[in-house]
Amino acid sequence: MSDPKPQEAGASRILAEMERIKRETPSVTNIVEAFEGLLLERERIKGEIETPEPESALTTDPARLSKGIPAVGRAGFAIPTSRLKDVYYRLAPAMIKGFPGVRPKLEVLGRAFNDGSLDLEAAIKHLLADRQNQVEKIARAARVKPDIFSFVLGQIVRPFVEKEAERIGPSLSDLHWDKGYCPVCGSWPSLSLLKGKEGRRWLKCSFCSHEWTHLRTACPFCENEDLETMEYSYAEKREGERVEVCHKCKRYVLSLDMRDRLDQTTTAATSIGLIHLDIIAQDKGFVPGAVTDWNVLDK
Amino acid sequence: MGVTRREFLVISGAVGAGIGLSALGIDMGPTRAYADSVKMDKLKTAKQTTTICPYCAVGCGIICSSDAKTNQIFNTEGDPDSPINEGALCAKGAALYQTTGSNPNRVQKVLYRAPNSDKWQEKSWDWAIAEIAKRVKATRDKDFIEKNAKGQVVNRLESIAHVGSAALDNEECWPLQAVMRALGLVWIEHQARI
Repeated sequence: MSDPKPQEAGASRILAEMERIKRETPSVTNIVEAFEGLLLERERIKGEIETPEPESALTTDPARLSKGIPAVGRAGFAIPTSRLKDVYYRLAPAMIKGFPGVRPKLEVLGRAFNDGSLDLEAAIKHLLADRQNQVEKIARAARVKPDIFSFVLGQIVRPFVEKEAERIGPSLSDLHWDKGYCPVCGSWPSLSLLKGKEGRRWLKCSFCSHEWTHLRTACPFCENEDLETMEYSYAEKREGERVEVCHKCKRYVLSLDMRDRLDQTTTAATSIGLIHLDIIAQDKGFVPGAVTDWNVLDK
Repeated sequence: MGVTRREFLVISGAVGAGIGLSALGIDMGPTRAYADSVKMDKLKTAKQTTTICPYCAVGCGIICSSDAKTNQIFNTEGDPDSPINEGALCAKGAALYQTTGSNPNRVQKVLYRAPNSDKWQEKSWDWAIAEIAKRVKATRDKDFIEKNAKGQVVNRLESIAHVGSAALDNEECWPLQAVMRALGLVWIEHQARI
């Protein structure tokens, strides 16, 4: 039997993780199923992206990193504009199926893409450069709701930035980086992972999914090291799943102890199984250090 | 380089996110119910503190987790960020939890086994300290050597030896060896040299 294609291998891992989450936390089944098609298709698209050659030409400036400047920064990601519409058309059916609440709005968005009334390329540039007001301007001009538009843009760029981070990541592994934000793109982490025999803490980027090591006993968001002002909460008998909060900056990060797991890798779906901890932390007045596709909760 | 930190810090949620699950048409009822049930009677909150292993002079870093309500330590583990041990611990360090107040089997009273006896007896600290002093004095009085075979003054005691624990710090070691030398001991050793 031959090995599955890389894009299918990635999708199979997500699928297996979703099954595990549904088994261990049945209450999130509907959320897992809502995102299933979208995450699988994103993973397949990522697997189809060809890595530019030669990889050996990739270098990162250690001096830049030592000053706390990420290797690329979000605005530095090269997104192939020619493929954007194609990616949208592949993701749209999954979003329409998974998110009934925004179905009509997605249809409006699809029409705007079709008739060319929406400048997708410009919107993505603004999005990556954190010019949210410009993104909103483009959305309103095309009569599309800005929050839906931003959400969809984020889904479109994700396969490309994750692929780029996979390419850049190895060149950073030997360079010093002690910040709480991502050394590749500068975004905040959405997950904290305890891995390896010794339980080192790895942070996972909320945007490009790159992972890097960080102090176990410091807040990644405000660099607070006063242990009296930090704590973590967990459900009894689920000690490996935690939410770590900082009383100084009032932010939190979800945390997973992966030391007992055979497979120490995560997928795009991993944090769905921890949404109950998002709810608990947000009910206590803490805000997520990084907003993800599923941690904006309505009271 | 003219680049501010803020320019590279992208505050949470700017890219393609920030939409509520309910707005997407997802029913949050089951997850909220589960979160509420956890909050009701299963939620534990803990604090981490760092410490140094008390056993030997290597000084391995340890992270202790203690329950926020009871203040009882429930876990100790090697600190992966300590440059000394990078998270690893020896068998004694790994068993440090046993020495905490959370261990119900921890020995908290003096246990005495008399010579040739096979039974432990519970004793008070006052009894134990007085007994040690009494026996040290008796041995010293019996065996103290004032002069050697050549008639030279040596003032020594060869029938008691002292082994210092590596759990002692420098400041504790100094007065301890001074006391031992005052008694005349010549066999003064330390675990770190054995």
